[in-house]
Amino acid sequence: MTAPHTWTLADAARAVKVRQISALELVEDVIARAQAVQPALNAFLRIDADLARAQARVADAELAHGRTRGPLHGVPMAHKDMYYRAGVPSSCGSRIKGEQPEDVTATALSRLDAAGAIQFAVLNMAEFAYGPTGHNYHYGHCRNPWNTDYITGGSSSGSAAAVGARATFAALGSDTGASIRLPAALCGVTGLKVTYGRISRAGAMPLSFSMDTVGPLARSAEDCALLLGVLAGHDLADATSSREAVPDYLAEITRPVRGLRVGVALNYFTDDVDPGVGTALTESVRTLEGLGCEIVPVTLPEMSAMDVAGTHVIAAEAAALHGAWLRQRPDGYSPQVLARLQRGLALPATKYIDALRLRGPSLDAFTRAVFDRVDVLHAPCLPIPTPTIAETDVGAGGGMDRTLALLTKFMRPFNYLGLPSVALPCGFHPNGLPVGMQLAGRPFAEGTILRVAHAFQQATDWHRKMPAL
Amino acid sequence: MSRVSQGYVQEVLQLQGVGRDPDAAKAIAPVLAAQLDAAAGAYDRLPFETEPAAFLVALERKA
Repeated sequence: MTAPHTWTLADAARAVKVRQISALELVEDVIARAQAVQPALNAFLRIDADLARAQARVADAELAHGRTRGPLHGVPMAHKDMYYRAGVPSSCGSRIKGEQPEDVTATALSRLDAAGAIQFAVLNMAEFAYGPTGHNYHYGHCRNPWNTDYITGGSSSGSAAAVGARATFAALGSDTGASIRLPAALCGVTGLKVTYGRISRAGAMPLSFSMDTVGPLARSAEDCALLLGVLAGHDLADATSSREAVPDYLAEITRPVRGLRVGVALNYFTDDVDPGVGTALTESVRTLEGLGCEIVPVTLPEMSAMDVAGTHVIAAEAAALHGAWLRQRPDGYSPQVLARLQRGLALPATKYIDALRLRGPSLDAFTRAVFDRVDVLHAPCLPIPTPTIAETDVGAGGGMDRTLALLTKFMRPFNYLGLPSVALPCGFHPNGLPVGMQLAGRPFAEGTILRVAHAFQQATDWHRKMPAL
Repeated sequence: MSRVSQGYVQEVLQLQGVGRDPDAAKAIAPVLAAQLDAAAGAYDRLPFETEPAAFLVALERKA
């Protein structure tokens, strides 16, 4: 039998359900793995081993009496430390929040609890989820499981590193401007950015209320589908959560992909693409074609404008949300995050409102140009190979701003447009680190993009590759 | 195309009570403002709706 911590979430849930393994054995194995990789990766901020063991014993007792809470019964998970749990402090990757316990539990956590999941740890993240690299000057930088000299990507750095290292079956992340898909791509895991409003954000740390989304990072598209079925749906506690019906995502992903039209962009997503990245992306298109998908070239509308407008919205909303701390406790921020937040203070209100007013016309232009012609858009996650921690650290100089912009350039437009996009591994760069592709879809078409991702993962084994840690 | 003056940025930061090392904001604000003006110019007419709930309705209509 392979080590349980190497299983997928779906396999682990099945194994507990049929009592192939007890919840306690599973929790013990995953905690041992987490503790083993933590010195190299710094992915975990806190491991609640005794609490998880106690919950696992309860889960096993329930199973012994024939009771199952839900599809994640007895499965351990760790989450980005920005999902509030009543009575427990959440750092949000910062020191400013201190040890004050939260007074609410995030809806996302409540739904995972109700499905039977056991939270055993909280994960490292960029300070206030406002950084794309995985650097954290308060808790130490998170490190890429494929090579610890390299960045994990951010802001869901610990989530991607821990999933990639097989130290948690899956994790919640958040995606405001690439923060799930970027680290998923760099760490070789599958990350889902949902349609704006698909998953409740109640009890999750806000960064930009027009752009924030909650979503999973996991080892496969099937695992993401399993989690989305648990997490999606309207929530009275979040007025911006949608009442759109929640389909059976696990059933949707098993439908055939033959005949689906997959768009490949003729512009924007072709800019600045490194040859090593491009080779993996080209091969991934061939694989989709081999699965029977129809490959359709598409010309995109002006995308740079969407990237810029999205940057404005995040900057203005983040600065407003942090206004009190920026005035009263500026020394509590790292210099990089303080500088990013201060940019938003300098944006005139009229510019922020213009950026929001551009959103509807941009969505209309994009859906007409793309989704009137294809079912799914295929694109690179980022044009460049993974940079090192040193190359993107304070004082690295020499083009660092450009590198940081290129990290998010291909993903941020989907936040601005509110569209769903899944990132998944599609090969390796000559530097030995994973290369990621993304599949974007129409609003609320998570089932379709996960279906194509699942078919790709049935035909390839990139998502099964494990780093040698 | 508008420009945000350095003096304006300094004034805003003081109004906000943030006087600490505003160099990053000073440097980026005019660039961002000019970029957004260029982006807005791509469309003839912009809607008035700006709230997240209104955008959610736009997404649901496109589903």
